[in-house]
Amino acid sequence: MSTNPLLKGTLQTIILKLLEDNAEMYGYEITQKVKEVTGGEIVLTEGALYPALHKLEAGGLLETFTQVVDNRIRKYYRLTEQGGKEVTSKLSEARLFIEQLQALLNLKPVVK
Amino acid sequence: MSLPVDELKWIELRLEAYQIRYRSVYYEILDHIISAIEEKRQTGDNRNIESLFQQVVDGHLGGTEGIKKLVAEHEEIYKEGIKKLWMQSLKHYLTWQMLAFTIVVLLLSLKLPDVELVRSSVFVMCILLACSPTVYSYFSLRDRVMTTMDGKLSFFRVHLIKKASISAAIIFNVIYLLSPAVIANTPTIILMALMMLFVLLNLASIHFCRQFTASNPTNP
Repeated sequence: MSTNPLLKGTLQTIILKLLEDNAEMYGYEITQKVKEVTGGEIVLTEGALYPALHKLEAGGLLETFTQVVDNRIRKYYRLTEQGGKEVTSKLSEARLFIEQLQALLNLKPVVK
Repeated sequence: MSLPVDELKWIELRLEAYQIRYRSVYYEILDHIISAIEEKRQTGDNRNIESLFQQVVDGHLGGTEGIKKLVAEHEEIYKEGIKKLWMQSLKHYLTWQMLAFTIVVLLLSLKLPDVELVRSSVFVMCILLACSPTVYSYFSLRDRVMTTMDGKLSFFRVHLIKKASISAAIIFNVIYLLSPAVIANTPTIILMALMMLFVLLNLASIHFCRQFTASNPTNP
């Protein structure tokens, strides 16, 4: 398990993509989803996750609503219309970056 | 697996010691801690609530310092957003049309008699124009506050009003720095230029408040 520093630049893309796939999620759920998808190899630190969520919210890409779950308030995040459009462009950016990295570092995709 | 009521109460009380300033951040962290502890219990971790709480706070949130940093970053992000919105509002009115209108007004003001009554009237209008954005923002942003745990007037609302009060700050500095005699003898055209600056800031403030209200229909 690691909190990968390479994630820093792609954290917003990961959040946006997860919210595109899952419609609405809360903070802890996002960390668990990342852990699950990567088989526990990538763990999002909350110190990075929440500021990123708040930044996306302040930038108008995410909106929030609260629900009472088990007698406590839970803050959910979901994409705004603008956020929905941003996912596509962020994913293209990430894809291009990965291709460039592969070319630069001469990486070959791992066959499992 | 839900935690028993006494443990939930204990977590709430313990978290209050961290003095998290904003309600929304407090509830988000509280939910995170409870969710993490619930999962630990579900996977068979039966340590006492004190140990689990401390492990989650230190491991997930970086302890006291991590929580402080989270709150500070939360404030900073909203401050940046406000600054950006204010600049956008200002740019919205910094147009060639506005410049042309200002020039026409200034040229017309040359036709005004340069007497004390006119100068005083223009200066009074400057004061009214300079103060009105503060009043407007105070009332129009009344329900858009970042609620603090103690329910006091939040940093967030104060910051919004401060942005809209730039013209009030300018006029009070003018009054403070210049003697009444200097103001009374200032040529009408200069007072008119000052007035046009306040018109621009007024329009920007109204745009700023409306944009903010539109993009934040609920409390942040």
